[in-house]
Amino acid sequence: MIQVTGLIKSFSAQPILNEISFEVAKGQILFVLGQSGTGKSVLLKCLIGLLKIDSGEIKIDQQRVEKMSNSELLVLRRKCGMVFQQPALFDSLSIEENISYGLVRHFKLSKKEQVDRIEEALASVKLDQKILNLKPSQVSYGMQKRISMARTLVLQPEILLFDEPTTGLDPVSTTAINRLIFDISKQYKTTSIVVSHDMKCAYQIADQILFLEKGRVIFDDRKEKISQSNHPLVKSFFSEVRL
Amino acid sequence: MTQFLDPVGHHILFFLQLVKLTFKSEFRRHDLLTQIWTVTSQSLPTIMMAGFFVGAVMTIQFTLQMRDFGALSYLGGLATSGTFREVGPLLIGFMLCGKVGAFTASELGTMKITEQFDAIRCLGSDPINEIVVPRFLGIIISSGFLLVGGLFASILGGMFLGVFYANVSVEEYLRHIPRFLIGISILSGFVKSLVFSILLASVCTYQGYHVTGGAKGVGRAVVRTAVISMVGIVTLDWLTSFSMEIFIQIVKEVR
Repeated sequence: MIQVTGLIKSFSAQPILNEISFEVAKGQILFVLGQSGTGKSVLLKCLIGLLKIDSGEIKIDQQRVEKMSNSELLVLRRKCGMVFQQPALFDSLSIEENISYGLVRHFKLSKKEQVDRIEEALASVKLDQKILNLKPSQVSYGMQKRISMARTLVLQPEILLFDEPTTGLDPVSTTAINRLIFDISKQYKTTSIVVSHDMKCAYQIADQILFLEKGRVIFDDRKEKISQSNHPLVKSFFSEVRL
Repeated sequence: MTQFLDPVGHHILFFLQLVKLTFKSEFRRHDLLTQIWTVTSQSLPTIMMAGFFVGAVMTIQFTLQMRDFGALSYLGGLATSGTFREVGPLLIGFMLCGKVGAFTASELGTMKITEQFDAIRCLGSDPINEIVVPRFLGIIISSGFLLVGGLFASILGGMFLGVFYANVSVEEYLRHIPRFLIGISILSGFVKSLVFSILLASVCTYQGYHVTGGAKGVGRAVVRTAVISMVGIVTLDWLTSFSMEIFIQIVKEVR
Protein backbone atom coordinates (compact mmCIF):
# COMPACT_ATOMS: atom_id res chain seq x y z
CA MET A 1 0.00 0.00 0.00
CA ILE A 2 1.34 3.43 -0.99
CA GLN A 3 -0.08 6.55 0.68
CA VAL A 4 0.93 10.08 -0.25
CA THR A 5 -0.43 13.01 1.76
CA GLY A 6 0.09 16.72 1.09
CA LEU A 7 3.34 16.24 -0.80
CA ILE A 8 5.10 19.48 -1.75
CA LYS A 9 8.31 19.63 -3.76
CA SER A 10 9.98 22.64 -5.33
CA PHE A 11 13.27 23.38 -7.07
CA SER A 12 14.91 26.75 -6.29
CA ALA A 13 11.65 28.23 -4.98
CA GLN A 14 9.75 27.05 -8.07
CA PRO A 15 6.94 24.73 -6.95
CA ILE A 16 6.81 21.47 -8.92
CA LEU A 17 4.42 19.37 -6.82
CA ASN A 18 1.77 21.11 -4.77
CA GLU A 19 -0.24 19.32 -2.08
CA ILE A 20 -0.32 15.96 -3.85
CA SER A 21 -2.35 13.27 -2.09
CA PHE A 22 -3.34 9.81 -3.32
CA GLU A 23 -3.35 6.12 -2.37
CA VAL A 24 -2.59 2.97 -4.33
CA ALA A 25 -3.81 -0.36 -2.98
CA LYS A 26 -1.62 -3.47 -3.09
CA GLY A 27 -1.57 -5.17 -6.50
CA GLN A 28 -3.15 -2.21 -8.32
CA ILE A 29 -1.84 -0.38 -11.40
CA LEU A 30 -1.91 3.41 -11.12
CA PHE A 31 -1.27 5.54 -14.20
CA VAL A 32 -0.01 9.08 -13.57
CA LEU A 33 -0.96 11.24 -16.56
CA GLY A 34 -0.42 14.86 -17.46
CA GLN A 35 1.39 17.16 -19.84
CA SER A 36 5.17 17.45 -19.93
CA GLY A 37 6.66 19.38 -17.03
CA THR A 38 3.85 18.75 -14.57
CA GLY A 39 6.10 16.90 -12.15
CA LYS A 40 5.20 13.27 -12.93
CA SER A 41 8.79 11.98 -12.94
CA VAL A 42 9.62 14.10 -9.89
CA LEU A 43 6.72 12.43 -8.08
CA LEU A 44 8.13 8.95 -8.82
CA LYS A 45 11.60 9.95 -7.64
CA CYS A 46 10.14 11.42 -4.43
CA LEU A 47 8.29 8.15 -3.73
CA ILE A 48 11.50 6.18 -3.31
CA GLY A 49 13.56 8.97 -1.80
CA LEU A 50 15.69 9.77 -4.86
CA LEU A 51 14.54 13.36 -4.29
CA LYS A 52 13.91 14.87 -0.88
CA ILE A 53 10.46 16.39 -0.43
CA ASP A 54 9.80 19.82 1.11
CA SER A 55 6.82 18.70 3.17
CA GLY A 56 4.09 16.07 3.29
CA GLU A 57 4.06 12.35 3.99
CA ILE A 58 4.93 9.32 1.90
CA LYS A 59 4.11 5.93 3.37
CA ILE A 60 5.07 2.64 1.75
CA ASP A 61 3.73 -0.33 3.71
CA GLN A 62 3.24 1.99 6.71
CA GLN A 63 6.89 3.14 6.65
CA ARG A 64 7.53 6.89 6.37
CA VAL A 65 9.85 7.28 3.37
CA GLU A 66 10.71 10.96 3.96
CA LYS A 67 12.06 10.14 7.42
CA MET A 68 14.29 7.26 6.32
CA SER A 69 18.08 7.43 6.56
CA ASN A 70 20.19 6.69 3.48
CA SER A 71 20.78 3.09 4.57
CA GLU A 72 17.05 2.56 5.21
CA LEU A 73 16.30 3.99 1.77
CA LEU A 74 18.69 1.50 0.16
CA VAL A 75 16.77 -1.34 1.82
CA LEU A 76 13.43 0.14 0.73
CA ARG A 77 14.60 0.48 -2.86
CA ARG A 78 15.41 -3.21 -2.99
CA LYS A 79 11.68 -3.90 -2.79
CA CYS A 80 10.71 -0.99 -5.09
CA GLY A 81 11.98 -1.54 -8.62
CA MET A 82 12.10 1.47 -10.90
CA VAL A 83 12.31 1.49 -14.69
CA PHE A 84 13.61 4.81 -15.98
CA GLN A 85 12.66 6.92 -18.96
CA GLN A 86 16.03 6.04 -20.47
CA PRO A 87 17.21 2.43 -20.20
CA ALA A 88 20.04 3.59 -17.84
CA LEU A 89 22.04 0.42 -18.53
CA PHE A 90 25.72 0.34 -17.55
CA ASP A 91 27.63 0.62 -20.84
CA SER A 92 30.80 -1.07 -19.67
CA LEU A 93 29.00 -4.21 -18.44
CA SER A 94 27.52 -7.03 -20.50
CA ILE A 95 23.75 -7.48 -20.55
CA GLU A 96 24.08 -10.43 -18.16
CA GLU A 97 26.14 -8.32 -15.74
CA ASN A 98 23.60 -5.52 -16.04
CA ILE A 99 20.71 -7.81 -15.18
CA SER A 100 22.55 -9.52 -12.34
CA TYR A 101 23.88 -6.22 -10.88
CA GLY A 102 21.48 -6.13 -7.93
CA LEU A 103 21.38 -9.92 -7.53
CA VAL A 104 25.13 -10.25 -7.09
CA ARG A 105 25.28 -7.46 -4.53
CA HIS A 106 22.28 -8.11 -2.34
CA PHE A 107 21.38 -11.80 -2.58
CA LYS A 108 23.45 -14.75 -1.52
CA LEU A 109 22.44 -17.05 -4.36
CA SER A 110 24.26 -19.95 -5.92
CA LYS A 111 25.38 -19.56 -9.53
CA LYS A 112 22.53 -21.82 -10.66
CA GLU A 113 19.94 -19.82 -8.74
CA GLN A 114 21.30 -16.63 -10.28
CA VAL A 115 21.11 -18.07 -13.77
CA ASP A 116 17.54 -19.26 -13.13
CA ARG A 117 16.47 -15.81 -11.92
CA ILE A 118 18.10 -14.12 -14.94
CA GLU A 119 16.44 -16.56 -17.35
CA GLU A 120 13.08 -16.04 -15.71
CA ALA A 121 13.42 -12.23 -15.89
CA LEU A 122 14.51 -12.41 -19.52
CA ALA A 123 11.57 -14.67 -20.39
CA SER A 124 9.12 -12.31 -18.72
CA VAL A 125 10.28 -9.44 -20.95
CA LYS A 126 10.30 -11.79 -23.96
CA LEU A 127 14.02 -11.65 -24.70
CA ASP A 128 16.32 -14.40 -25.88
CA GLN A 129 19.25 -15.61 -23.77
CA LYS A 130 21.54 -15.24 -26.79
CA ILE A 131 21.91 -11.52 -26.03
CA LEU A 132 23.33 -12.08 -22.53
CA ASN A 133 26.96 -11.72 -23.58
CA LEU A 134 26.39 -8.61 -25.69
CA LYS A 135 26.97 -5.04 -24.53
CA PRO A 136 23.94 -2.69 -24.26
CA SER A 137 25.18 -0.68 -27.25
CA GLN A 138 24.91 -3.79 -29.44
CA VAL A 139 21.13 -4.12 -29.11
CA SER A 140 18.25 -1.88 -30.18
CA TYR A 141 16.73 0.85 -27.99
CA GLY A 142 13.55 -1.17 -27.55
CA MET A 143 15.57 -4.16 -26.36
CA GLN A 144 17.52 -1.93 -23.98
CA LYS A 145 14.23 -0.87 -22.42
CA ARG A 146 13.26 -4.52 -21.94
CA ILE A 147 16.67 -5.33 -20.46
CA SER A 148 16.19 -2.42 -18.08
CA MET A 149 12.88 -4.00 -17.04
CA ALA A 150 14.52 -7.41 -16.64
CA ARG A 151 17.20 -5.85 -14.40
CA THR A 152 14.43 -4.55 -12.17
CA LEU A 153 12.29 -7.69 -12.28
CA VAL A 154 15.13 -10.03 -11.41
CA LEU A 155 15.08 -8.61 -7.87
CA GLN A 156 11.38 -9.58 -7.63
CA PRO A 157 10.25 -6.20 -6.27
CA GLU A 158 6.90 -5.77 -4.52
CA ILE A 159 6.40 -2.33 -6.05
CA LEU A 160 7.20 -1.32 -9.63
CA LEU A 161 7.63 2.26 -10.78
CA PHE A 162 7.76 2.99 -14.50
CA ASP A 163 8.87 6.43 -15.72
CA GLU A 164 7.52 6.89 -19.26
CA PRO A 165 8.48 3.36 -20.27
CA THR A 166 7.39 3.77 -23.89
CA THR A 167 9.09 7.10 -24.70
CA GLY A 168 11.03 6.91 -27.96
CA LEU A 169 9.55 3.57 -29.03
CA ASP A 170 7.62 2.75 -32.20
CA PRO A 171 3.87 1.90 -31.88
CA VAL A 172 4.46 -1.88 -32.02
CA SER A 173 7.10 -1.81 -29.29
CA THR A 174 4.92 0.58 -27.28
CA THR A 175 2.02 -1.86 -27.33
CA ALA A 176 4.34 -4.73 -26.43
CA ILE A 177 5.87 -2.84 -23.48
CA ASN A 178 2.44 -1.80 -22.20
CA ARG A 179 1.27 -5.39 -22.44
CA LEU A 180 4.38 -6.43 -20.52
CA ILE A 181 3.65 -3.98 -17.73
CA PHE A 182 0.17 -5.40 -17.37
CA ASP A 183 1.33 -9.04 -17.51
CA ILE A 184 4.18 -8.48 -15.05
CA SER A 185 1.98 -6.63 -12.59
CA LYS A 186 -0.62 -9.38 -12.64
CA GLN A 187 1.87 -12.27 -12.75
CA TYR A 188 3.97 -11.03 -9.81
CA LYS A 189 1.02 -9.29 -8.06
CA THR A 190 3.06 -6.13 -7.77
CA THR A 191 1.77 -2.65 -7.08
CA SER A 192 2.67 -0.56 -10.12
CA ILE A 193 2.82 3.16 -10.75
CA VAL A 194 3.28 4.13 -14.40
CA VAL A 195 4.08 7.68 -15.50
CA SER A 196 2.90 8.12 -19.06
CA HIS A 197 1.37 10.38 -21.72
CA ASP A 198 -0.42 7.45 -23.32
CA MET A 199 -4.12 7.78 -22.46
CA LYS A 200 -5.17 4.86 -24.60
CA CYS A 201 -2.79 2.54 -22.83
CA ALA A 202 -3.77 3.93 -19.45
CA TYR A 203 -7.41 3.22 -20.21
CA GLN A 204 -6.57 -0.35 -21.25
CA ILE A 205 -4.40 -1.47 -18.37
CA ALA A 206 -4.75 0.92 -15.41
CA ASP A 207 -6.91 0.23 -12.38
CA GLN A 208 -6.64 3.81 -11.20
CA ILE A 209 -5.70 7.08 -12.91
CA LEU A 210 -4.09 10.15 -11.36
CA PHE A 211 -4.11 13.29 -13.47
CA LEU A 212 -1.67 16.12 -12.76
CA GLU A 213 -1.75 19.69 -14.00
CA LYS A 214 0.89 22.24 -12.94
CA GLY A 215 1.84 20.07 -9.99
CA ARG A 216 -1.71 19.62 -8.68
CA VAL A 217 -4.02 16.61 -8.78
CA ILE A 218 -7.02 17.30 -11.01
CA PHE A 219 -8.32 13.72 -11.17
CA ASP A 220 -7.76 10.69 -8.95
CA ASP A 221 -10.16 7.80 -9.30
CA ARG A 222 -10.93 4.44 -10.91
CA LYS A 223 -10.37 4.62 -14.67
CA GLU A 224 -14.08 4.05 -15.37
CA LYS A 225 -14.86 7.39 -13.74
CA ILE A 226 -12.61 9.42 -16.05
CA SER A 227 -15.40 9.90 -18.61
CA GLN A 228 -17.38 11.73 -15.91
CA SER A 229 -14.70 14.36 -15.28
CA ASN A 230 -15.58 17.91 -16.28
CA HIS A 231 -12.00 19.18 -16.28
CA PRO A 232 -11.09 20.39 -19.80
CA LEU A 233 -7.60 18.84 -19.78
CA VAL A 234 -8.89 15.45 -18.61
CA LYS A 235 -11.63 15.66 -21.23
CA SER A 236 -9.14 16.45 -23.96
CA PHE A 237 -6.94 13.48 -22.95
CA PHE A 238 -10.00 11.24 -22.71
CA SER A 239 -11.10 12.24 -26.21
CA GLU A 240 -7.99 10.33 -27.44
CA VAL A 241 -9.47 7.11 -26.11
CA ARG A 242 -12.71 7.62 -27.93
CA LEU A 243 -11.00 8.35 -31.25
CA MET B 1 32.08 35.60 -2.26
CA THR B 2 29.43 33.03 -1.30
CA GLN B 3 29.29 31.96 -4.95
CA PHE B 4 32.98 31.08 -4.75
CA LEU B 5 33.00 29.58 -1.26
CA ASP B 6 29.88 27.45 -1.68
CA PRO B 7 31.34 25.03 -4.25
CA VAL B 8 34.65 24.96 -2.36
CA GLY B 9 32.79 23.86 0.78
CA HIS B 10 30.79 21.25 -1.14
CA HIS B 11 33.99 20.03 -2.72
CA ILE B 12 35.70 19.60 0.65
CA LEU B 13 32.67 17.76 2.07
CA PHE B 14 32.59 15.46 -0.97
CA PHE B 15 36.31 14.77 -0.57
CA LEU B 16 35.87 13.96 3.13
CA GLN B 17 32.98 11.63 2.23
CA LEU B 18 35.23 9.82 -0.27
CA VAL B 19 37.99 9.49 2.33
CA LYS B 20 35.51 8.14 4.88
CA LEU B 21 34.10 5.62 2.41
CA THR B 22 37.62 4.62 1.39
CA PHE B 23 38.42 3.68 5.00
CA LYS B 24 35.04 1.98 5.42
CA SER B 25 36.19 -0.15 2.51
CA GLU B 26 32.75 -1.32 1.35
CA PHE B 27 33.56 -0.96 -2.35
CA ARG B 28 34.33 -4.02 -4.47
CA ARG B 29 38.06 -4.84 -4.74
CA HIS B 30 37.53 -6.07 -8.29
CA ASP B 31 36.22 -2.63 -9.34
CA LEU B 32 39.26 -0.93 -7.80
CA LEU B 33 41.70 -3.29 -9.55
CA THR B 34 39.86 -2.75 -12.84
CA GLN B 35 40.19 1.02 -12.41
CA ILE B 36 43.90 0.82 -11.56
CA TRP B 37 44.52 -1.36 -14.59
CA THR B 38 42.40 0.81 -16.91
CA VAL B 39 43.97 4.12 -15.86
CA THR B 40 47.53 2.76 -15.83
CA SER B 41 47.35 0.84 -19.10
CA GLN B 42 45.59 3.64 -20.98
CA SER B 43 47.85 6.43 -19.76
CA LEU B 44 51.26 4.79 -19.41
CA PRO B 45 52.32 5.10 -23.09
CA THR B 46 51.35 8.80 -23.20
CA ILE B 47 52.99 9.56 -19.85
CA MET B 48 56.18 7.71 -20.83
CA MET B 49 56.35 9.55 -24.12
CA ALA B 50 55.87 12.87 -22.34
CA GLY B 51 58.41 11.85 -19.68
CA PHE B 52 60.97 10.98 -22.38
CA PHE B 53 60.71 14.44 -23.91
CA VAL B 54 60.68 16.19 -20.53
CA GLY B 55 63.98 14.48 -19.70
CA ALA B 56 65.30 15.45 -23.12
CA VAL B 57 64.29 19.11 -22.70
CA MET B 58 65.85 19.28 -19.24
CA THR B 59 69.11 17.91 -20.65
CA ILE B 60 69.15 20.49 -23.45
CA GLN B 61 68.54 23.33 -20.98
CA PHE B 62 71.24 22.17 -18.57
CA THR B 63 73.70 21.51 -21.40
CA LEU B 64 73.46 25.12 -22.56
CA GLN B 65 74.38 26.36 -19.07
CA MET B 66 76.91 23.77 -18.02
CA ARG B 67 78.96 23.66 -21.19
CA ASP B 68 80.20 27.18 -20.40
CA PHE B 69 81.43 26.03 -16.99
CA GLY B 70 82.95 22.81 -18.28
CA ALA B 71 80.78 20.81 -15.91
CA LEU B 72 79.04 18.52 -18.36
CA SER B 73 79.92 15.49 -16.27
CA TYR B 74 77.30 16.67 -13.77
CA LEU B 75 74.65 16.90 -16.49
CA GLY B 76 72.95 13.57 -15.71
CA GLY B 77 72.77 14.25 -11.98
CA LEU B 78 71.34 17.75 -12.26
CA ALA B 79 68.88 17.03 -15.08
CA THR B 80 67.56 13.89 -13.34
CA SER B 81 67.29 15.55 -9.93
CA GLY B 82 65.42 18.52 -11.42
CA THR B 83 63.08 16.23 -13.28
CA PHE B 84 62.38 14.04 -10.24
CA ARG B 85 61.80 16.92 -7.84
CA GLU B 86 59.91 19.40 -9.96
CA VAL B 87 59.26 19.05 -13.66
CA GLY B 88 58.37 15.35 -13.74
CA PRO B 89 55.54 15.35 -11.18
CA LEU B 90 54.22 18.66 -12.50
CA LEU B 91 54.05 17.62 -16.12
CA ILE B 92 52.76 14.16 -15.31
CA GLY B 93 50.07 15.86 -13.19
CA PHE B 94 49.10 18.04 -16.16
CA MET B 95 49.02 15.04 -18.48
CA LEU B 96 46.77 13.18 -16.03
CA CYS B 97 44.44 16.20 -15.87
CA GLY B 98 43.99 16.19 -19.62
CA LYS B 99 43.64 12.45 -19.99
CA VAL B 100 42.35 10.78 -16.83
CA GLY B 101 40.63 13.79 -15.27
CA ALA B 102 38.69 14.74 -18.38
CA PHE B 103 37.78 11.09 -19.08
CA THR B 104 36.55 10.43 -15.53
CA ALA B 105 34.54 13.68 -15.34
CA SER B 106 32.83 12.97 -18.66
CA GLU B 107 32.25 9.30 -17.83
CA LEU B 108 30.63 10.09 -14.46
CA GLY B 109 28.74 13.05 -15.96
CA THR B 110 27.28 10.88 -18.70
CA MET B 111 26.27 8.27 -16.14
CA LYS B 112 24.54 11.02 -14.16
CA ILE B 113 22.55 12.50 -17.05
CA THR B 114 21.50 9.07 -18.33
CA GLU B 115 20.11 8.26 -14.86
CA GLN B 116 22.59 5.43 -14.26
CA PHE B 117 23.32 6.69 -10.73
CA ASP B 118 19.61 6.72 -9.96
CA ALA B 119 19.38 3.20 -11.40
CA ILE B 120 22.16 2.06 -9.04
CA ARG B 121 20.30 3.61 -6.09
CA CYS B 122 17.14 1.84 -7.19
CA LEU B 123 19.04 -1.44 -7.26
CA GLY B 124 19.78 -0.86 -3.57
CA SER B 125 23.37 0.36 -3.87
CA ASP B 126 25.14 3.64 -3.27
CA PRO B 127 26.69 5.04 -6.50
CA ILE B 128 29.41 6.89 -4.58
CA ASN B 129 30.55 3.64 -3.01
CA GLU B 130 30.07 1.55 -6.15
CA ILE B 131 31.31 3.90 -8.87
CA VAL B 132 33.04 6.98 -7.47
CA VAL B 133 35.28 5.55 -4.71
CA PRO B 134 36.98 2.93 -6.97
CA ARG B 135 37.71 5.68 -9.54
CA PHE B 136 38.98 8.07 -6.86
CA LEU B 137 41.34 5.46 -5.43
CA GLY B 138 42.21 4.08 -8.86
CA ILE B 139 43.50 7.47 -10.03
CA ILE B 140 45.57 7.98 -6.86
CA ILE B 141 47.18 4.53 -6.94
CA SER B 142 47.72 4.56 -10.71
CA SER B 143 49.45 7.93 -10.57
CA GLY B 144 52.18 6.28 -8.48
CA PHE B 145 52.80 3.70 -11.23
CA LEU B 146 52.56 6.39 -13.89
CA LEU B 147 55.07 8.57 -12.04
CA VAL B 148 57.56 5.70 -11.90
CA GLY B 149 57.05 5.00 -15.63
CA GLY B 150 57.23 8.69 -16.56
CA LEU B 151 60.37 9.34 -14.52
CA PHE B 152 62.07 6.23 -15.87
CA ALA B 153 61.32 7.45 -19.40
CA SER B 154 62.61 10.91 -18.48
CA ILE B 155 65.97 9.43 -17.45
CA LEU B 156 66.12 7.62 -20.79
CA GLY B 157 65.16 10.80 -22.66
CA GLY B 158 67.75 12.84 -20.78
CA MET B 159 70.42 10.21 -21.34
CA PHE B 160 69.56 9.97 -25.04
CA LEU B 161 70.05 13.70 -25.53
CA GLY B 162 73.06 13.69 -23.20
CA VAL B 163 74.78 11.17 -25.47
CA PHE B 164 73.72 12.53 -28.85
CA TYR B 165 73.51 16.27 -28.14
CA ALA B 166 75.95 16.98 -25.31
CA ASN B 167 78.44 14.22 -26.26
CA VAL B 168 78.47 12.81 -22.74
CA SER B 169 78.95 9.06 -22.47
CA VAL B 170 76.26 6.89 -20.86
CA GLU B 171 78.59 6.06 -17.96
CA GLU B 172 79.39 9.69 -17.33
CA TYR B 173 75.74 10.68 -17.53
CA LEU B 174 74.73 8.05 -14.99
CA ARG B 175 77.73 8.42 -12.68
CA HIS B 176 76.54 11.54 -10.78
CA ILE B 177 72.87 10.68 -10.64
CA PRO B 178 73.12 8.97 -7.18
CA ARG B 179 75.02 12.01 -5.88
CA PHE B 180 72.31 14.50 -6.83
CA LEU B 181 69.28 12.26 -6.64
CA ILE B 182 69.22 11.93 -2.87
CA GLY B 183 66.34 10.46 -0.90
CA ILE B 184 64.71 13.84 -0.37
CA SER B 185 64.51 14.44 -4.14
CA ILE B 186 62.75 11.12 -4.66
CA LEU B 187 60.50 11.73 -1.65
CA SER B 188 59.67 15.20 -2.91
CA GLY B 189 58.66 13.82 -6.32
CA PHE B 190 56.43 11.18 -4.78
CA VAL B 191 54.83 13.53 -2.25
CA LYS B 192 54.05 16.01 -5.03
CA SER B 193 52.68 13.32 -7.27
CA LEU B 194 50.50 11.97 -4.44
CA VAL B 195 49.16 15.43 -3.58
CA PHE B 196 48.44 16.25 -7.25
CA SER B 197 46.69 12.94 -7.83
CA ILE B 198 44.50 13.37 -4.73
CA LEU B 199 43.54 16.82 -5.98
CA LEU B 200 42.83 15.58 -9.51
CA ALA B 201 40.89 12.51 -8.33
CA SER B 202 38.66 14.54 -6.05
CA VAL B 203 38.09 17.34 -8.60
CA CYS B 204 37.18 15.10 -11.53
CA THR B 205 34.91 12.81 -9.48
CA TYR B 206 33.18 15.80 -7.85
CA GLN B 207 32.63 17.56 -11.17
CA GLY B 208 31.41 14.41 -12.91
CA TYR B 209 29.13 13.32 -10.10
CA HIS B 210 27.46 16.73 -9.82
CA VAL B 211 26.76 17.33 -13.51
CA THR B 212 23.48 19.05 -14.30
CA GLY B 213 22.04 20.26 -17.58
CA GLY B 214 22.49 17.38 -20.04
CA ALA B 215 25.30 17.13 -22.60
CA LYS B 216 26.29 20.78 -22.15
CA GLY B 217 26.64 20.14 -18.43
CA VAL B 218 29.05 17.28 -19.15
CA GLY B 219 31.14 19.60 -21.33
CA ARG B 220 31.19 22.22 -18.59
CA ALA B 221 32.29 19.60 -16.04
CA VAL B 222 35.20 18.52 -18.23
CA VAL B 223 36.37 22.11 -18.72
CA ARG B 224 36.02 22.87 -15.00
CA THR B 225 37.97 19.72 -14.14
CA ALA B 226 40.84 20.78 -16.42
CA VAL B 227 40.93 24.38 -15.20
CA ILE B 228 40.53 23.71 -11.46
CA SER B 229 42.99 20.79 -11.49
CA MET B 230 45.69 22.65 -13.40
CA VAL B 231 45.43 25.82 -11.32
CA GLY B 232 45.27 23.64 -8.20
CA ILE B 233 48.34 21.65 -9.22
CA VAL B 234 50.44 24.78 -9.79
CA THR B 235 49.31 26.19 -6.43
CA LEU B 236 49.97 22.91 -4.62
CA ASP B 237 53.33 22.64 -6.37
CA TRP B 238 54.38 25.90 -4.79
CA LEU B 239 52.96 24.85 -1.44
CA THR B 240 54.62 21.40 -1.43
CA SER B 241 57.97 22.84 -2.62
CA PHE B 242 57.83 25.39 0.17
CA SER B 243 56.82 22.76 2.76
CA MET B 244 59.51 20.35 1.59
CA GLU B 245 62.18 23.05 1.90
CA ILE B 246 61.05 23.76 5.48
CA PHE B 247 61.04 20.01 6.15
CA ILE B 248 64.58 19.67 4.78
CA GLN B 249 65.79 22.56 6.96
CA ILE B 250 64.21 20.99 10.04
CA VAL B 251 65.79 17.61 9.27
CA LYS B 252 69.21 19.27 8.81
CA GLU B 253 68.89 21.13 12.08
CA VAL B 254 67.85 18.01 13.98
CA ARG B 255 70.84 16.16 12.56
